[in-house]
Amino acid sequence: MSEQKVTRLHPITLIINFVSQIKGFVIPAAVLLVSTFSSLTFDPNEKFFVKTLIYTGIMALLVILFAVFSWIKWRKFVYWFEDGELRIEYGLFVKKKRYIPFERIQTLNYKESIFHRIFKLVRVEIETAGDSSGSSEGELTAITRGQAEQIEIEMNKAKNKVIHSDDEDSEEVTIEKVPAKKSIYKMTNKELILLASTSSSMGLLFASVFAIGSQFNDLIPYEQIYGEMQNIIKFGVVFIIAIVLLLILFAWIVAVALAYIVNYNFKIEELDDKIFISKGLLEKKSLTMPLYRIQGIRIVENPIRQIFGYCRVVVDSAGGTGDEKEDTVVLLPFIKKKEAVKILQTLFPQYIVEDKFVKVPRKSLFRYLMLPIYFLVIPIAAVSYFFYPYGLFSLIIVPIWMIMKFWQYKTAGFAMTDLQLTIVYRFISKSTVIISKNRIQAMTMKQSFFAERKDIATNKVNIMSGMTGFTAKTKHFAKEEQEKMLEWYKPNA
Amino acid sequence: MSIELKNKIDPKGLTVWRIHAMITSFITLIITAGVFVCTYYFDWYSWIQYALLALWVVSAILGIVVFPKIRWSRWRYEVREQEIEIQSGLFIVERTLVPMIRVQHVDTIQGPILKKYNLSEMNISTAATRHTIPALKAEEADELRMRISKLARVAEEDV
Repeated sequence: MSEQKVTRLHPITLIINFVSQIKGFVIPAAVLLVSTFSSLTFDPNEKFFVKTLIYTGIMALLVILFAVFSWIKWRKFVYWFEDGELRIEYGLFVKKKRYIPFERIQTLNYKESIFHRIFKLVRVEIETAGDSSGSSEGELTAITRGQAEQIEIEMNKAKNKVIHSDDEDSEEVTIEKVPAKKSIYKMTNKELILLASTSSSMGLLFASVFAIGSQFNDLIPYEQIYGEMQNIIKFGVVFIIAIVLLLILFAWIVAVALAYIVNYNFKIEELDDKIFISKGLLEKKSLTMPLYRIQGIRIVENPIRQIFGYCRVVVDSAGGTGDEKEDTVVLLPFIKKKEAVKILQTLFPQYIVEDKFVKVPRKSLFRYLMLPIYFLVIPIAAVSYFFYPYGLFSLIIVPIWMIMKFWQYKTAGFAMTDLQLTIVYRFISKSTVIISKNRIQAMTMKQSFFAERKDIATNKVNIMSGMTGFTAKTKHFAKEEQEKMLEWYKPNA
Repeated sequence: MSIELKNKIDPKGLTVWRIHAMITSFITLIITAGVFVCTYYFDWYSWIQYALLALWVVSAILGIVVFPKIRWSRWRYEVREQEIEIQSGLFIVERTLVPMIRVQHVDTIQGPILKKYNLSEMNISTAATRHTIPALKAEEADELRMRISKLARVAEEDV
């Protein structure tokens, strides 16, 4: 096995590397160019001629340098398969070698940018178990799909070998084709558009547009130009309203388009206890997630979606599985809750979606409404004082705050079965967190002096999620119930 | 909180906390003094300095005398075969349960002040959390660390 066939990345890597290197250089160059543009000249008689030559010379030199670097980098990067390992060698000046044993490889993530799509290529990110940094262990910038498949085949071959090592020649195994994945879910276009129009960022956008819109009243000094200008101003107001409406429409279209591009063809497939998520129109992203890495499931319903019975499902996963180093992976971006429950049932038969919960006792309502009150009182007091009398308008927040808090009180609940804990809570969106007992890292019950007198307590449940972990809380429940939860969690109980 | 936990932390831990609080108080005192100097030279409102001084006196008394005492009396722990329980808090009492299977590693730390009193701080880490027992006799801490790591290895996945 000494002479191995070495594979090089696709030449398009050259361009990708070049673009990514030059990216950081474009803005300073543009600034330089714009600031000196008027004085640049190619007329030898002008006094800036030499300067112009130097500038263009330096730029050309840098571009050539980057191009050469990219070329060397591409030439030097090779990978091959040997001894059940994926071996990568690269390095511009210092030669680096990275050997990744196939059985240690956890996931292969594929991404396709526009560059890749034109030439039917993929970018492969390799993640291993011991990978705690959140970034991928190895990265192949651009290879053909066939080559990517080859890696997967080699990987399966190596993994099979480990299991039954005494088998005769492994030649037969080579023929083995990657088995077909079972399709779990595909997003429809209707869902895609509804997703974009009901996302919370849309709500924020509307709010900000209206806020800006209302500011126009103050910006325009009506009193000063009153009189003969009246008609023009009237026209102006109509004009401004029209612009604001147009802006909203435009923002909505942009949001829909963005969501469409990002989530286009969103689908989930399953094979060998692994989930494969892929999405994207221009840039296709795929993500592989082993089921055993999943620490918890969260069903999130923002108020608008809740009314229409839609929700979003995210999962917490151990280690940096996400493509953008997120702690959570979006499993179902937008789906009818009933459908979501069905899909969860097929993917995770061990989990149950509960509908009966222990609720918050009446005596805790006061706590929900009033704590933490300083969040509300201090800013309002400050605004009211410094912007008196207009600042008093901030008092409008009080009833909204109270309604929200009351809603939180109504929503909160939890339920336990033998091996599973379900916690429901609301900040603005309603979240249902489903955790199995053996995924809980620690549990804490806390109680203030005043809560103790009323027999109320709050529990915190820690699970692993990405690098940081995630904490679910059951706030202000009867102490008796909380103690039951702790008792449930106790290993020897 | 049906049953009180068995172990309390070392009484000398209280002294260490007080020393820590004194050091922070000293730093805030220097800042307060700085304000006094500024008031003198730059004609700041004089009420600022007195308010600050009063604040310093109150926080120093609470921070050095009162709070450590409450915290110390609250802090309890118990290491059992299957789990570790820790209770802590000042106004809000927290009681945390960590099963042995979840313990990933245990380490002890000894700063200069802790060392002077022959104490150690013990940290227990799970995959997502970190729990502290702040002041144990050094030998006791070492012993406990060994014990926990042994128990953690023995404890098996029961699900």
